[in-house]
Amino acid sequence: MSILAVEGLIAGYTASDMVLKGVDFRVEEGEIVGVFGPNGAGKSTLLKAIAGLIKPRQGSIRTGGEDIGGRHPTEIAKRGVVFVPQEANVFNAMSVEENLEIGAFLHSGDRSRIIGKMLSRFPELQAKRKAKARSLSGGQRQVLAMAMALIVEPHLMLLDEPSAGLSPIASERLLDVVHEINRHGVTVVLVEQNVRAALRIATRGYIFVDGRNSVEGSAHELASDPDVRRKFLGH
Amino acid sequence: MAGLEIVQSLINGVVYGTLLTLPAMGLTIIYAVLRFPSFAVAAHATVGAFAGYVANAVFGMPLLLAFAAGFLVSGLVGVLSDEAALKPLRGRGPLTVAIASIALTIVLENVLRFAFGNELRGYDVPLQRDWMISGIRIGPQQVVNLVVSVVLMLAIFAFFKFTRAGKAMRAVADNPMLASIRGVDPNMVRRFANFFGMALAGLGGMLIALDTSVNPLVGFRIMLPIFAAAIVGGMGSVPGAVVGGLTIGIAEQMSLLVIPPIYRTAVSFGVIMIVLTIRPAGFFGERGN
Amino acid sequence: MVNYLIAMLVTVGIYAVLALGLNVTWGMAGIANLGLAGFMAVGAYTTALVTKTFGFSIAAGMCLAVFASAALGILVSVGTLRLRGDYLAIVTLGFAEIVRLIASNETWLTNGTDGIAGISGPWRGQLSPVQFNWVYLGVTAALLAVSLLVCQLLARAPYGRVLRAIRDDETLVSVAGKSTFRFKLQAMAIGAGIMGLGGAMYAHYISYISPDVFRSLISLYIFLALTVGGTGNNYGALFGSLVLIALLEGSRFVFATVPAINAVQLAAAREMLIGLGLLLVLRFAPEGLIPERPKIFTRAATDITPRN
Ligand SMILES: Nc1ncnc2c1ncn2[C@@H]1O[C@H](COP(=O)(O)OP(=O)(O)OP(=O)(O)O)[C@@H](O)[C@H]1O
Ligand SMILES: [Mg+2]
Repeated sequence: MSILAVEGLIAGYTASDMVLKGVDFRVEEGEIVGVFGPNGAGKSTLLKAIAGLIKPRQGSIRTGGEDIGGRHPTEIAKRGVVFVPQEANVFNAMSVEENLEIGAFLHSGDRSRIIGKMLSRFPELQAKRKAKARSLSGGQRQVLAMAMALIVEPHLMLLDEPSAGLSPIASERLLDVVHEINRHGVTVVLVEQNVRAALRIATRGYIFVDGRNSVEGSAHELASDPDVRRKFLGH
Repeated sequence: MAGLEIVQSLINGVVYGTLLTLPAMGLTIIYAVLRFPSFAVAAHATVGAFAGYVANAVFGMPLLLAFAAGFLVSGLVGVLSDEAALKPLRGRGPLTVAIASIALTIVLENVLRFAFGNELRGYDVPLQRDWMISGIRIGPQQVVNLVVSVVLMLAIFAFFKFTRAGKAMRAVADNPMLASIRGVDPNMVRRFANFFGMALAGLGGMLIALDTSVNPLVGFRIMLPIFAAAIVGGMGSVPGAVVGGLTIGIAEQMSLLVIPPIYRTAVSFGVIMIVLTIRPAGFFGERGN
Repeated sequence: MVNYLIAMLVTVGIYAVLALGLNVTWGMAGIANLGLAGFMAVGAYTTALVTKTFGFSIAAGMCLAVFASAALGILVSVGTLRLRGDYLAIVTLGFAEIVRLIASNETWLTNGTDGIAGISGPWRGQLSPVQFNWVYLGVTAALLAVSLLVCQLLARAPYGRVLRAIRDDETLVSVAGKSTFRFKLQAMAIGAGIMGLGGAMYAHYISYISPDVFRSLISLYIFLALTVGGTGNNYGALFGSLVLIALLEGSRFVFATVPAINAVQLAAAREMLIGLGLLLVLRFAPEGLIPERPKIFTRAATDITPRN
């Protein structure tokens, strides 16, 4: 069974204007699935719909065989599906440690232990434990955002452009972190503008155009597709 | 002699400012989480004053229990009235909700006026002689009020710093969308903020009524100072409300040395105007825009 | 009875002028001016003072009332309009209270809480009370018509479109290169001026004013009138005032028939009714009797809002 299966999804922000116009999207256990496409194609909207921030108008969103479409965001998080938004993805006025505590809000076990574990896993956060999140660098902030989501030991992590605004080196490093997270057993959906870098770690990818998935294939297939190369890889 | 007067005013200012701090914290907590200035803190200050009055003067409870009654009843009224009157309007912008909160204030205030009339009432507390300490006058009740406020203030700081619920409230104030996807239910937190904020307003109203009298206008009379305190400190900032409350309390009492007492409310207004002109975000606030 | 009805119509007219003033600031520009009672008081006191003390004509007094209120409108908002709207709400509410304080305490100027009596009315001396009521109804109708005309011109002109655009999305307008500040300041001045006119009309009709008349509660009355009628719509302001007075007067009679209710309780019940009325209208009929625009255009956007 797929870890995530989206079928015929139609959704939008207003009653009249549907941003997603029929999306079919599938993620298997253990994958990193890249989601690419021009600005405004609806990539972020898809992640928000999966995370429960907007309600589907039609279609289904299944995880583990259960339809989670329209459920409350908290319910969806409890099912091990976590979303890391592109912007405003940390609590700026709270310290790194407090951010992790909120991340552990749904965790039923020993919270301070798991927070400690997370801090030792990401040394850059350990060093800034007491600092307010707003004082972090862009890369540190993204790591914190992901660490916060990882605390509940999710099955599936939805990442919206984690490397946006980072220097090329920092974004390489960040995608390495994503790769590392995936190797620890977390399936990842990765929305990225930097297609080339993302395809290096992705197993599969989708190209979105105007609210629909148009092309789908393995990372290798996409990297060698002439159309994709021309539009997204610049040659 | 003049020096003594100044010291006396300063002390009065600190005492009054500390009382103002409670409703100002209530206002600022609600603002931080719900993002609108609730004029209804005024009504809930009055509700708290009357709840304490009923507990103390009608049912004969000791003052400490009456404090608890003032706190709980106004908190409860705060949650219920918000659910019924304001919550359905939340999608329509903070100004609409703010105006609705004035309407709510008028309703609550007049329910109390209907039930209790306009006369000034007093709590059932033994009349105590003021203490004179080297020329400075201090009332025992003032000391009790001061202690209650300070204890509560510290409890609130501890609550936000150390407890799970307190951190959840800060998280929702900071970023409600993120809080909801991390499992903190913003609606629960909003309810809680309302309870807590209005309970503080109620207790503050009761303490101020202890100092003056219980009547339907208790809350409305301190509305401007409460808002001034919250604005000076920075709307949404709890430490700000403390600094703001003390600033307004002291400014108001000190001004009495030079202006007629009737204009003390005008001091709050003046301070609001000055602060908004030179430092719109207040001492601890986020940026004003 | 006829006299009573005329008196009520005059009152409706005065409230309608006030509601028009509110419509310029709140309805068109989305500025929450809660200082209505203050601007009304400034207008009323200005005309009362200049006509009584300096023997100005009523017309001159009313003009001065408009200017004085407008000037104060600018003064109050100049520092706060740049800030978030909620701060202006607080400041204007405070302003109204300060006006009342001054009116109560600067006895040399305002005669304090005793108020000012014997304010002239047009031909009041020469006419019987009934005749005076008729005359004043005419005056009110004329002034209301002028205010309405001004507001309609404002609403139709490109200026009105800019104001509405500011109300609906201020950032967008400022991005489009317009100074929203200047527009908002003008809206405040015009709105406050019209409110001042309403106050002046009140003063010359009743002939007696005191600080107690101008309690902040009046602001709520007028918000109710405007919301019932239809925020953003000038005719809504008119109809809403009719509804408001019907409610205020009707409740007076109805509640008075309840046995064992004293005067304080009667007043409390009526104020409660106004507060409750505003809450109910905001909740269940936010567009009022005369919506600003047909429903089809405004509904869609509010249907589904992203959860947070
Ligand atoms: N909160 C919102 N309310 C209304 N419309 C929105 C909202 N967020 C996005 N949209 C609209 O939905 C469409 C798709 O936006 P979305 O953010 O999903 O695009 P995207 O593929 O993530 O683009 P980008 O690469 O720029 O991030 C856009 O036309 C956008 O204007
Ligand atoms: Mg996006």
